[in-house]
Amino acid sequence: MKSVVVDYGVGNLGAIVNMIRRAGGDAIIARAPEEIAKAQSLVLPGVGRFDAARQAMADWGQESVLRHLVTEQRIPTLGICLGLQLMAESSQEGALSGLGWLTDSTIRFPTGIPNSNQPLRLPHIGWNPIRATHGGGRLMAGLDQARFYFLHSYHLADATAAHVTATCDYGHVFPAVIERGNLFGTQFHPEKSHDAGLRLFRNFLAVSHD
Amino acid sequence: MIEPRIIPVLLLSDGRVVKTAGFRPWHYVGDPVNAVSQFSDMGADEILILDIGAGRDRTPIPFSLLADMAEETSVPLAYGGGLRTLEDVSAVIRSGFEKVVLTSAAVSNPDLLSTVAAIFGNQCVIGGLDVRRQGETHMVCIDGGTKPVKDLDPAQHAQAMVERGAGEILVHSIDREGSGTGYDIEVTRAVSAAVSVPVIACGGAACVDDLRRVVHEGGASAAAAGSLFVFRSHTQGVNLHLPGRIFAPGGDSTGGWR
Repeated sequence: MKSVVVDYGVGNLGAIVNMIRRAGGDAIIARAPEEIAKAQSLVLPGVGRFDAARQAMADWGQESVLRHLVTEQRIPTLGICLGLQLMAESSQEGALSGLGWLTDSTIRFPTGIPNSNQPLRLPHIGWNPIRATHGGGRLMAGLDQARFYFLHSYHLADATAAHVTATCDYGHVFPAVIERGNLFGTQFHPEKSHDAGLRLFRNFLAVSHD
Repeated sequence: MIEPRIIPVLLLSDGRVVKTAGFRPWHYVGDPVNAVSQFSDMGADEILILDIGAGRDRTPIPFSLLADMAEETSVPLAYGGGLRTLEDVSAVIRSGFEKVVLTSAAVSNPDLLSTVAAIFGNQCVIGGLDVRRQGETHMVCIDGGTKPVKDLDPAQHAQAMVERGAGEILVHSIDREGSGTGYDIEVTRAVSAAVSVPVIACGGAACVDDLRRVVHEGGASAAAAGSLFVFRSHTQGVNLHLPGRIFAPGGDSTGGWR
């Protein structure tokens, strides 16, 4: 059961491969469309800037195979941090459009905390607990209130959308996990969130085997 | 809002973990892959790996060792030491690191910060500030803390690095490093007051209270330490350990160690 970690020129790719292996799966990194096409599940990595990733996807002709796998074949697809944001329609971090698989946009955290004159230090860096919503979903199984590692200044805009299965609070509440059909996404980095992250990847692999 | 982080620092020289005082001399501590694996198993908030040789003597960045270390780690990793090009940074990130520290490059080639941030995002870039106290003031130093830079105020340099693309600042006190006399609260506070990105303090921590002080009095978002987590006994026998979650809501006041 092969997971493909998509190489769009950015991302802590090795960390994701390592964690999938630790979770009992099998993963490769792929850049060429014909290699990506072999995927039985997909991971879109984080640690990268929006436009850099979107430009590389376009330059390397990855968009059409990704659309085919995700929206037509509907293989399980996990977006991590930037990877999740790429699934949206747009991002304040960049000028290029998103992939539009999720109906939402990506916005920047506000610079202040409501009702306080304390600044909100950005990026949001560190371990924060998440809270299940809308029934939690399969990716979140056993992980309500678990702490995960966040490293970002942008997030999906709508924390109340039906596809949001967990939220986090930093300055304000924002989407932390999404799940809709074959689409899964985390704003945090499960590949570097120790035991909670391992559990999340096991959940993803279990879904992928269904 | 968010729990301050406690970060063990592993100093590398020639492929081995070493211990320094004021960035010199060096004593062998242990195997890097084993060390990072242990800290990861303990659930460290992050691990910071700094290669002194690469930073100071321009020995090659140990890419293959870093990849081996990443393979053993399921907690966030940052690397610093001799990073001079986007290709260097890219190779490190791809192998499984989330952040890089740019210290000398931030002075000699500040465009590198913007270049890296444009591809990987500013959350990936830690601007490194190696500082040395000089009388009443602090001097910024480069090349592994060996070369002071004239007329460069740490707080102003921190601001400049943020403007260029740093999403975090690492304030590393050379004087305090390995001294066990506590963090340089003053310079940490000056820097954390000058920027709105998180600030990591490093250098001098001798006890868990030092970690609390630099957060509560120095305004640090994270407290990094080498010696404190690597040695324990009076005989300086090697032992890796981390404190419990002292910054957790409710606090871990047991004083226990992992």
